[in-house]
Amino acid sequence: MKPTSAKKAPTVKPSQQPTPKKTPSSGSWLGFLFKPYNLLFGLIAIMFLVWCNKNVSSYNWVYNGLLKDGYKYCGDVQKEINNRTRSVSDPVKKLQIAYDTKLEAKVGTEFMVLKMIRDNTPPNAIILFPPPLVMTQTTSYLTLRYEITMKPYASYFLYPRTVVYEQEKGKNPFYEKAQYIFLLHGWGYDHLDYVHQQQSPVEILPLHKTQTK
Amino acid sequence: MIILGIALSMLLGVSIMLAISTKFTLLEYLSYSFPLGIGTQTFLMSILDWSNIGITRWGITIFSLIVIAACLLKAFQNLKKDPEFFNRCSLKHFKLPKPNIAWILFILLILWFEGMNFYKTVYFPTFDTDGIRGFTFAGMAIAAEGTLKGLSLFTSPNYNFQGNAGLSSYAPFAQLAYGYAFLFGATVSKVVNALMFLSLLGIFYSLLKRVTTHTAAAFFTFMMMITPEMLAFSALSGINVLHTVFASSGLLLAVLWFYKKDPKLLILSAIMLAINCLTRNEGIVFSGMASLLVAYRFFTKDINWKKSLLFFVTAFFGFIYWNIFLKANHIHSGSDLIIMKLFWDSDKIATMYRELKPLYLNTQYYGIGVVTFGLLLLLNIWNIIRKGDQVALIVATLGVMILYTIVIYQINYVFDSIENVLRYSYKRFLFSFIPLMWFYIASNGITMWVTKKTDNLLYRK
Repeated sequence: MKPTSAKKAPTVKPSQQPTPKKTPSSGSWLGFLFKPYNLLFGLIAIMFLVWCNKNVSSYNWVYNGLLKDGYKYCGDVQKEINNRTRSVSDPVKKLQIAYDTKLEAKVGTEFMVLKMIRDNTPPNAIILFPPPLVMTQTTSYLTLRYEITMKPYASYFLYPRTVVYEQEKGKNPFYEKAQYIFLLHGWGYDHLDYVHQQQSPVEILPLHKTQTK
Repeated sequence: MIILGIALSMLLGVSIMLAISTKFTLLEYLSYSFPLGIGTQTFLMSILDWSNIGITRWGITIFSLIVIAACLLKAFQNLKKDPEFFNRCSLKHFKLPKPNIAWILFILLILWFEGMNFYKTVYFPTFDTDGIRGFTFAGMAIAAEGTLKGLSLFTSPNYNFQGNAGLSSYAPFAQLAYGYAFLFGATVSKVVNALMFLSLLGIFYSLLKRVTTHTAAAFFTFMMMITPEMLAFSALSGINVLHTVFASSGLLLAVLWFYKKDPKLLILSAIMLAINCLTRNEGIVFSGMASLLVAYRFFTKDINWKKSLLFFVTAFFGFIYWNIFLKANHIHSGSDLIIMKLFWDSDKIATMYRELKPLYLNTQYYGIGVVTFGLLLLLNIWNIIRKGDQVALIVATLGVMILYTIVIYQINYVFDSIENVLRYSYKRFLFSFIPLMWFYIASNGITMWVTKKTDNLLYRK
């Protein structure tokens, strides 16, 4: 940019500038909005959005699937939380129910099974899990996704409890220290050092008789 | 309590910005405050851990207050030189840009879409597999155990998180940031992801405002924002969108400095790139590209060697620091993953070409962004050759794409197949190129001509 001082000074006598008349649109938002080019470009913008929505299916998905349905789903889950917490007065318990309901909605069966284990073991528990083939077995009453066979995945929901898998026998020092066992599809009853009468397809039990009351 | 934690991070970010300069816009102070603040917090947390003080809420608070005080001391020196600062920032002088229907429409759409996205991000706890078995799990354990170097996930014989492609091979930003959120009482660590994506929108809009009109800035910010795969991932706990915030803004700031030679942009760029290297190890690709731009300006004598050297060291600082941290604390990070010598493998190249071509052209993942970028590059070829139109931005954008593809090529695929890495990891890594591409789409010669003409017509008396 050239410095202004370098410019030649005007020689003509400066005439008195008429005070600008205030047009209805100047300085006013509403007046400006209805100018023809403004309306035209607004219309072009809307047409472009309609074109995107109709011709690029992923943009349609962004609005209808990802955002609108996603937002609505939050509302549905919140209704369920409100139902479940209606009779609960303890705020900590309310928070826990809300947290669990959200994870039930998003993670599904795997979380519900792990929640059952969490609620029935102390925080310092070491829990023995079945091998992957048993865990992912398809049955009429329960099918779990392979993610549950990943130690970090199961450990996240059970932390600070320690998760040990059956296939780690002889490799992981925590295996020998396990106090609880996740019994699944009939697997694991032979690990108990006591007889358990009522067998269930999905259960969490202490491994040793001394731990039972 | 989490509100206090977020406020502390934002205060830290703003004080860093004020220490750099008092000449940023209000939107820039607001948009960069959280990414800068939380990035610095994670660095401070690692120092607390390394010095055996431990990662605790009080430790973090006191340490960050000391850093804020130091930054404000420098900020006061800057403020003395800029007495108009408070006038500029006062609400009395706050002015909205001249309105037009298109600008209002796109700003409302950004607010509406981001409102829904923000809500659903913070509403649900982490539910994506990568977050559950990796970043959020580590964050939760850091908050509970107060350490990173002695984390049970790294040290207990029950876990095998060290080694190739294990958790320790990931740079620590996300884990520590989630740990920070949990320490300050958050039940959902995704508040970090939600605020980072919100910041990205503000940063991108303010970067565009430096080169184009406010109407174009709103339009292209909206287009960048609705990139389908990126928007979907912004609601998850993965690190790709977090990486995108630091990588793209760091590089774009370097490009803007390249043209405008404004030192505050370069300092901010260096810090964003430093945090970027703490977010993903591949972040060095962006630091490398920005360093090339600085090196060019060094050879054209637009910047002295001291400042250039300081930029290089800062831009790579996160990478250097994290590697020293791992070595000093005997954490194995899976360094065997990268083949250090160059080699030729035609099968691998053919596989990469076969996988990447449909990926780049996939409008399901990236909307019309990549295709429009390619078309505008072709249409602008005359401007590029004759006038050097946005050459630095093109070199930076294509450069990081090529460098990253080379990094992918140099990986020893013992942990997964190359096809899987290209289909899933590369797909997500491409997010960090998206703001760069949209920035070019918005600022190239043809678009700028159209934008200026539009503005002339819109505001014609």
